[in-house]
Amino acid sequence: MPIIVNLDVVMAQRKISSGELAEKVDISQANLSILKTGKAKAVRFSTLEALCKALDCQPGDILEYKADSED
Amino acid sequence: MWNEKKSVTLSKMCTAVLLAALACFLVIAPGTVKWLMSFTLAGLPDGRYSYFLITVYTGGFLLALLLVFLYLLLDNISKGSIFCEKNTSLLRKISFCCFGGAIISGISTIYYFPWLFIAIAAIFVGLIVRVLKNLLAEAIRIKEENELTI
Repeated sequence: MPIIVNLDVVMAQRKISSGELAEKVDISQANLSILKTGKAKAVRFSTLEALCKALDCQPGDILEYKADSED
Repeated sequence: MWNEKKSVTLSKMCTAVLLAALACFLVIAPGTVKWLMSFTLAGLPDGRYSYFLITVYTGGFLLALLLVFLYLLLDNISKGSIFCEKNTSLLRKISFCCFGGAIISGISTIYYFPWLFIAIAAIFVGLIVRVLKNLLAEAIRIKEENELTI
């Protein structure tokens, strides 16, 4: 998938655990795991906003675009 | 108070009863077909008894298979497993049973023309079931996308 989620990188930089972040963002740990592992099909703006607020970062820090090699 | 769960249970019961009735009919088919032929084909050339039996047994087998698949589908629904690949697979198999029945009926028009009406009806039912299968497959795709939207 061209959109890469670098959530684990930012979480490591901010030294915050999955449980803590899930609680702050008000999503389940299962959903956070889906997001971290790149299995999510879409992210709501409200979730992105909550993540940026909790991690004190920009959307671009969490999401990265990398074109597929076939393009 | 009537509810969806009771509705599914009723559908399952009707399917089971129909399957049992079909099994009974197939056992007594030789006598029944002979009796039916005596007044429906009165005056027409004989010798089609074995053809009727072949049509009834091959069509009956497909119909029994269809009823089993239908029962399994209803069973999945009653267990809460609705939007799943198993159900699209079952609907696909049901449509194939309908088309198979249509082919058998279509071929049977060689010796008895009114089988054509059964063939046409079976094609329409098979087509409707196929559309339902496509609908369910699309619903599964949308549901999965919704579930993976965080």
